[in-house]
Amino acid sequence: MLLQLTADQDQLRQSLRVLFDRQAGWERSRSLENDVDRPLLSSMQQAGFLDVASTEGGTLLDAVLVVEEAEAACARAPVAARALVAARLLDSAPLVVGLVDTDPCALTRYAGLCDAYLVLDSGGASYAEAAQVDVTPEPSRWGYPLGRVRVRRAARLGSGTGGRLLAAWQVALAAEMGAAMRRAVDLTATYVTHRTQFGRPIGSYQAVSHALSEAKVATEGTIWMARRAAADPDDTILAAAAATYAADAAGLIVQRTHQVTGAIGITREYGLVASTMRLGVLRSELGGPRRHAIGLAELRWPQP
Amino acid sequence: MNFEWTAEEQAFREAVRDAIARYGSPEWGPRDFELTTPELAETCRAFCRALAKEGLLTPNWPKEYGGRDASPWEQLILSEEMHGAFEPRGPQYMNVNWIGPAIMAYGTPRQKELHLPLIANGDVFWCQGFSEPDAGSDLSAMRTAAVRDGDTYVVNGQKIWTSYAHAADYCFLLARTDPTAEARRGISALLVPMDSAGIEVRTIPNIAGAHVIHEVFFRDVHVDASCLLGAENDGWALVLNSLANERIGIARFERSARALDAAVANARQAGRPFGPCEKELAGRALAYNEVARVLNYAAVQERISAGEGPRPAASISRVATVTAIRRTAETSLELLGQPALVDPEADEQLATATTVAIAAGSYEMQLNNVARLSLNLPKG
Ligand SMILES: Cc1cc2nc3c(=O)[nH]c(=O)nc-3n(C[C@H](O)[C@H](O)[C@H](O)COP(=O)(O)OP(=O)(O)OC[C@H]3O[C@@H](n4cnc5c(N)ncnc54)[C@H](O)[C@@H]3O)c2cc1C
Repeated sequence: MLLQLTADQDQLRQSLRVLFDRQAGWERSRSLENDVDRPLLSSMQQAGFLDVASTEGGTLLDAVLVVEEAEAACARAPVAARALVAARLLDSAPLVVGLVDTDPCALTRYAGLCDAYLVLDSGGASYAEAAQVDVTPEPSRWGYPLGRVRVRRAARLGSGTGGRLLAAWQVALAAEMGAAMRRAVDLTATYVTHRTQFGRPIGSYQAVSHALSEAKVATEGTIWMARRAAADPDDTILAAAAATYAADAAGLIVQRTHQVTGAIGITREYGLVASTMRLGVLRSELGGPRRHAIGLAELRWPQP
Repeated sequence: MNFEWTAEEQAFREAVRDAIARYGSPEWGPRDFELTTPELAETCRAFCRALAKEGLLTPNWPKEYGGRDASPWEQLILSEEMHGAFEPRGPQYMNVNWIGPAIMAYGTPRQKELHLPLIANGDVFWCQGFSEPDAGSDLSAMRTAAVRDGDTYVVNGQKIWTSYAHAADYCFLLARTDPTAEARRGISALLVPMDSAGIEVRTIPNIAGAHVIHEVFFRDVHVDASCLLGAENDGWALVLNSLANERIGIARFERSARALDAAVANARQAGRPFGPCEKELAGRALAYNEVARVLNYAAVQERISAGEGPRPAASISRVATVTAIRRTAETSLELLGQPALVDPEADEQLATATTVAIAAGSYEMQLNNVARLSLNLPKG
């Protein structure tokens, strides 16, 4: 057990930051409103970041680090779907991959903007090219292009891949949520340190600091649990636990960070919404915390 | 970064499980290691001595002090297995976790020579004399005084909530040695034999399961000056480090996770429903326990890396543990119904759900630590 970044992982993180400083960020993300940042994904691919999990010596944990940095930089691209989920299921994948839950209530991120889709239904996992699906866009204010995807034809990926797709998707969600939470909490900690009311920084009031400290604990819990689950990708219980906790925690983070930021928090300009709106989508994906929790219980305590 | 146990660590876990199977009893339960009777205290001591003989009591200690120089992760594994099995080390978990390390870090050669073998051999029980009636969360408000008189300190004052004081051989006592200094200065640590004249221990009846807590009165207790640990008046850094170690030294998440498994099994056996509502509750509780576990691991890594530096992860881990235990307790009650109140494991979780948020620094104090040390928020 070593819960610190190795020198290689630290190097990976530094390189990602250099790239994202140049080619990502909230401003750029906003300007792409209903689009996907293909140039960013191309740069990531060229640098090998999208394939860290499948390159020699790489692991899914490295892919989690890529996802963490991408989400922290508000990358407007399905990085986790490609670098983490597709890496677990496909030998090679196109640049832009979408994840489709065939539940009739489900919305798909980047629907209509992807080259291909990984599809989860009760029969398992399958793969559909863009031309094999119908997409109905659902314009929204939730931080991602969203839409409904109806799969006309898809290639089955073989037995056992349904569970693998679900688990990888859950780990990806937890990693994305953890990073979005960290960004929201860090931004808020800075804000309450500088914002003064009644002659004191509001972060010095315990009602504010305790609300944010609980958010910090939930954030760290989400991040570490996602990493732990990624490190043991065959353990479907860990993946379901990571998603259950993350989806619960995300609700708390949204409430707490907005509450202690006051009105400025809801403005587009300020930037908190870049993460909190996304958390609304992420925490409700795959049926939300309730469905993750029920699935987790069924894995842990199967019917005797 | 990796989350794998080495082959050596896995072998160690097996060895600990094997020792529990050989020296333990399937009859042992959550109430057996609070040293409530002399017989139970002896069972506990005998168990620790047996562990010591097999090198399983202080594995991560340096060789010179009776350990094997094993990885600090072995201490965590030990705690997981012991706490999961109702902690048959009784209060000796404290010895391994923070009392011994404090003596190693701050002790004189003579103190090390006296105390470390006693601990490493499993011979000795300690108690922790920190809290006072007017110094709980605000520990630095303590007033118990130790006045230097030649080669002794004369101690007067009162400690409270002292776990295991009735059976302890020594007290790790904090006392004020300079009444004129600012609150956090002027505090010293003394390693006090509990059979010293002038110490009176009174049990405080309480609802914390079988856990026994006490008032300890010190009336003109003469303590040899050689019992001073570290520099006089400079005990606060030692306190902070010891408290951080204390916070992560009990693998409570392991007990909580096992209690959750037991609640599900018992509920099913009793023919209670286990449908979507119950699964949702149990699944959430499991997720919170696994998060408490991984945050505890992160805090152990921090202990390894931070040295004497600040330890925010210890408080983060503690907050998550409180939340997880509360989830387990509530879920047990939901799954089992009122029989939870008379089921030893569920009942223990219900008791712990209350006490864990108070002992070793309350939940709110942990949040203060997170605010200051992790979020760098300004002080009020
Ligand atoms: C089971 C158990 C075993 C224990 N064993 C030991 C032991 O072996 N040795 C030992 O020394 N002590 C022991 N303790 C004592 C423990 O360390 C104290 O109870 C703890 O530090 C809290 O102090 P208090 O009980 O005086 O509560 P108080 O400090 O009076 O606090 C009461 C409540 O007020 C809140 N509060 C206080 N100040 C603030 C503030 N500034 N901001 C916000 N909230 C605040 C607290 O969080 C708490 O919720 C034990 C306690 C328990 C429950």
